[in-house]
Amino acid sequence: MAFLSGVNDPWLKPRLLRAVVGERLPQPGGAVLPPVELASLLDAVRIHGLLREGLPGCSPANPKLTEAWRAAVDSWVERIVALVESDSAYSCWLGTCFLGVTFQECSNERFAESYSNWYEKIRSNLQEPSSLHLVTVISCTSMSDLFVRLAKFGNLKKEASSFAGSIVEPVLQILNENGLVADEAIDLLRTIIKLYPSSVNRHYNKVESAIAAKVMSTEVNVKPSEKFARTLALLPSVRVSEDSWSLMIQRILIVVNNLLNDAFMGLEDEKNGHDIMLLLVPPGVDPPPILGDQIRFGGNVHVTKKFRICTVPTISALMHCCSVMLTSYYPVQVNVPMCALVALMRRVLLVDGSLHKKLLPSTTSLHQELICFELPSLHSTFLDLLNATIKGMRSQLLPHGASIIRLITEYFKIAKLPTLRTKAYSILQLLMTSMGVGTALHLLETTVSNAIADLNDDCGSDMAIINTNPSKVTNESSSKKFSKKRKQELQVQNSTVSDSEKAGISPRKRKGSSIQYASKGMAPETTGDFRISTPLSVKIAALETLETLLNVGGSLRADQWRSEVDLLLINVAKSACNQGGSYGAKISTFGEPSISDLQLASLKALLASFLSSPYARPPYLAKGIELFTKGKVEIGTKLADFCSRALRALDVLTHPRALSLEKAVPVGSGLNYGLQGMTVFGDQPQAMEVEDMYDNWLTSTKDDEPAEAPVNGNAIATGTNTVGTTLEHRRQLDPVAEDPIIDPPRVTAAAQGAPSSSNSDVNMVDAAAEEIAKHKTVDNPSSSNAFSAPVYTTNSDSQRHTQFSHLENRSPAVNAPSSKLGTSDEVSDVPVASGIHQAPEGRSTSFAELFGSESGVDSGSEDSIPDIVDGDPDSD
Amino acid sequence: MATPPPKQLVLAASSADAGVASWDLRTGAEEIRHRPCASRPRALASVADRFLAAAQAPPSGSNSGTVHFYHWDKPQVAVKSFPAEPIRALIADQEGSYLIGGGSNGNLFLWEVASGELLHTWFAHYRAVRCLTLYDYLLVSGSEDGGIKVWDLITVLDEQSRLEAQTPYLYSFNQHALPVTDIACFLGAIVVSSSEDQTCKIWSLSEGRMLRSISFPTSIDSVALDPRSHVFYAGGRDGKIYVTAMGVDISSHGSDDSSILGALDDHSKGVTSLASSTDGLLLVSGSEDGNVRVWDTRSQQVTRKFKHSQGPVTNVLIVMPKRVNVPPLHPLRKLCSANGKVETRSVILPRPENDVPIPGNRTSIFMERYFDELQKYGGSSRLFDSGLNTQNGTHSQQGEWKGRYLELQDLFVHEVLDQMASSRNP
Repeated sequence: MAFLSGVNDPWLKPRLLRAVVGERLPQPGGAVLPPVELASLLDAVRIHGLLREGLPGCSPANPKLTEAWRAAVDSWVERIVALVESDSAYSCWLGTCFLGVTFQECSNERFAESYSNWYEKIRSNLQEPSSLHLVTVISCTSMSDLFVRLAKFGNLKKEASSFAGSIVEPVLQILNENGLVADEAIDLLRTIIKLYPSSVNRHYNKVESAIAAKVMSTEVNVKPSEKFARTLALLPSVRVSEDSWSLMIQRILIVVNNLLNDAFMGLEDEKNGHDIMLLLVPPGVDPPPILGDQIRFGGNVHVTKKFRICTVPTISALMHCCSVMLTSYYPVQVNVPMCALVALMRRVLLVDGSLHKKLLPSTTSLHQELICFELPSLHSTFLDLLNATIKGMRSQLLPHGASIIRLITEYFKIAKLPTLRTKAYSILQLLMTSMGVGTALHLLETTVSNAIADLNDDCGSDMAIINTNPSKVTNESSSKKFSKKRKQELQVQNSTVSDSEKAGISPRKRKGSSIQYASKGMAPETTGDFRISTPLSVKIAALETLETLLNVGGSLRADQWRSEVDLLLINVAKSACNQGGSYGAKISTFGEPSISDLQLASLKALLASFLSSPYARPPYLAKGIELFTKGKVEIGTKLADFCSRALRALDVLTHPRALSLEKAVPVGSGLNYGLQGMTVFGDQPQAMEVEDMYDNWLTSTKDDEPAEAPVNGNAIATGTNTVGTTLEHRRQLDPVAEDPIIDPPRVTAAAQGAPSSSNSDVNMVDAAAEEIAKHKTVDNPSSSNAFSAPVYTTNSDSQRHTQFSHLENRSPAVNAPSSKLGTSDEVSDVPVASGIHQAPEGRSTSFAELFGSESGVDSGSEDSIPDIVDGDPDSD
Repeated sequence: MATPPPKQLVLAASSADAGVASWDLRTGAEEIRHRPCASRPRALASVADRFLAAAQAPPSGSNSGTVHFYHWDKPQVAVKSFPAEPIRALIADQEGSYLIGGGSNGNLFLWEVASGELLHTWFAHYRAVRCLTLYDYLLVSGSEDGGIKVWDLITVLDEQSRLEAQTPYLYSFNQHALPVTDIACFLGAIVVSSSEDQTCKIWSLSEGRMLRSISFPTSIDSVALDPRSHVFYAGGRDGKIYVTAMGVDISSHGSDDSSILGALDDHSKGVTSLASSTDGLLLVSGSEDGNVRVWDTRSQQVTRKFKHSQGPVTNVLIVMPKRVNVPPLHPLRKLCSANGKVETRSVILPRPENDVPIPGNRTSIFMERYFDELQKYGGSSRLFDSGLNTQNGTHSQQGEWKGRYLELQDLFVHEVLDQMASSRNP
């Protein structure tokens, strides 16, 4: 034989194939090959593409080569078929295996030519009752491969469909008789239903009852029964109509509801089951035939075992079927019994195992114990169903949105086990992303309080990391509140107090979380180390949920929760990244999330907190950038990947480059409108534009501000005489802004007016403050005002707004001139506001103290004002 | 590459009964004209591009309005509905599950499209509702009385939540002195409103306050946002379309109207409606002069001009009609169902993207796993020697082995384990 030109020589293939058939493939009835040999055979055929009979890219085929190759494949097929027909079980098995491989590998022409022949071969395997399990299993698998390949031939659809129809009976027989090959048989059945639904139509009832029997039987393990459930979910597509789908889900829900009636006896209001039944089958309507009615449910299993091995697995499988039905494709629009579905989920998820008030005589402690044992898996199943419902229903969920939100909020009180809590968190995320900012409003409380509770435990000692470092606090804080806090800290720093006690002081008190802090403050430092901390999976879920919340509604009622959450996130991220360094923390069991997952989740949430910050500069930006920069070094990990993206995204916050807007040249004079600006904008990712947009507004408030200051004075002088009223006014305008404490800028505005000093005094001090701020920034153009700009902004913003709304309310006419004044007046201020990033530390402190001393009263008064939770009733 | 880009249509309706005209945005050819239709501004809505809904102006003297549904390919009205009061403003949500109408008496109506049920109706404003917009499921309504209210639809639709809420609305803004004419909302929960008081105002829904107010030389009847959200277009009653910055351009100080970057000026009469294409390159405007113009936003030139009718154009839309099998449309109900408990009809629409693929290539996967498994026990011969008598092995070791080969369990492990058990412990 001639030498080859190399590994890519097409002549290699027929030669190799001949060698395989001649030397390595056994004869029918031949010896048993070691598995290593078989594996290498399989590899050879697949890697070299020996059965392809053609190479991509070399179309002018050499007729001699084609002929040789075809002859080689012919001999291969001949041998394989001979093996399949052999009496030896092993040969038959081996032949069927390689026939399956041939289905995938051979050329289109060959497949179209011989598929019916091959089909017959495998079918006889399947019909032969005495054949070995292994042979049946591989026959099912390769048969389904045959149908998958056949589905690609549009012109053979009719034949394929009739083939599929005639294989259904034997498959059902296998399914009914032989539990061990049920797994592969159901796979084959599913392939047939999926690809040729009409061919199953004739056998619909048989198929349904066979699957229902399997789902409800006791012997099938959980995993395969999910396969049965998925096949059951496909069944309605056999008879495509609006009703067949609804009927199926209705019947499933009825079965589950009835099963639950027995299970939950004594643990719930007994009316529940009846109510759901009424929703499913309205009075006066004939109930549909019961699913799997001929099955003797549970059979002769003892009652204590019945619940564990019959009831719960059956419910799980059926609910899985519902989930698949809700989320997969169906060719026509279908009706979903949403009310019943929601009611059923509510029924299960709110059973916490405690006894219902009305104790039934049949309720025993054993029964309760049995149910409590299985309750987590039931809950898990129904959380999956809820998940699928949200995914499948999308906007259709809206009318039920409030009840689902209530359900999940209540469920959080019950969910204590890690897996359930994780799933509950994922439902929160799904709800927020699917229904948007409105849902975030409803879920804010639940998310924040639960996430804080879950994340807080291990950073008890870390909590004070940032707080104990006064310079950092002043450097990074953007609102006056923090300068006050710093004062407190300066006081406590002298006395030797434990870190945890400081943690008790620092963050803003809120119901729910304040308990956490308080208890931490009481506890001696050492006990913290011995507490069992929340599992990582729960923490990660909590972080992801916070991330979603920040993304969806980060600036929503920001004053109520943001500062607390921001602080928490930076602390969690810090402690997670610190833990990563020690060896001990890296050990994790298989399948459990590791500390690096926690790091990733915490950094993701941190980035979301930065990007959605309602303040000009996120308070802990510097620390965060340090963490991202560190993470970036871990080359080749997801963490590094994310960190470099995060730094890129934060670019806008660190270097606001005040992109110029597209300029319109005065009308009529030219066409270059936006050409420059357009290219600039085109290069930016969307997110950045949003950030820029935000920056632009901020600068706009700054622009307006100085001119408004005098107007402010006028308004106060001529109008109502205290700013306090203005505050009141504003609150009426804005029904959501409820709590004065929670909004430091507003309180500042009020506090400036409240003291006995005259209004002009306040304004003078104000003006002086601005003057100082301006000087500082102006005479330091090289450094930037990361600190001073935010303070400047927040303060002026609130002030401006206070009088703004005030003005608006009196006469809109005043508004226009005032804003004109603002834009024309202060040209010099503009570069200050936009170009400078960082103020020297010393100066900024003095600025903060200036404010602190001026309104020293209110640092005390702020804490003493009780929480006002109600919104003012609208006085309009 | 094979499929041509979907056809984009410009739709225009007039307050005079001239029907809904449509033109192909690319070719400029006039397409089907749906008749009859006489709509006031903001009363034309494309329901997730599946079909078209238009609230009709009541004939003079009468106080009852109708809502028409049209299929894309049929000129005549498909379904007529008769709501309780004439609908001034009509919108659909993004997925086309709901239609929301604002009535001339200040009531809002929320219908479910699939069933036509009126899910809820509530009193919103003292005067007629002029314009509506949705941000997620926050509904923003602007009224003739100058008020803007923001509603959380989740609360609105749930009785218990309504009772718990302190106010029926989320926010109420009263800064506009004269009727609010149009509202648009965008990314980041930002809303822009226009009014006859010659201002546009920018609001933040998450903060619940006004961010800016921009004065114009004339009343503004319509706004449209550039999708990149750095500028918006305000259609003035003087026939100009003002290009307005969302933020303030820092470099342009000294002029009074620094927010107004320029104006598109070609209409002879007031600009009543605007629509921006999704790529931001085109802007469609409809005017009282009866014309519809398509603008290139970069060159600021008119690229196309369509003549609608003599009467004023009140609505323009850009739609990409989906030629799907629309399930039968139900007329919108006049009243909520009698017992107060609405039986909603949740449906799942066919979504081919949800289709689960069937995995092929399983034989080789099976073989690979099988070989791996067999190698652990030193060859396959024993399997077939003793294998003919099926499954007589003891189950004693099954549990132990299951633990070891968890990952194989789903495919083949039971089989092999039984066989191996029988061959090892005869």
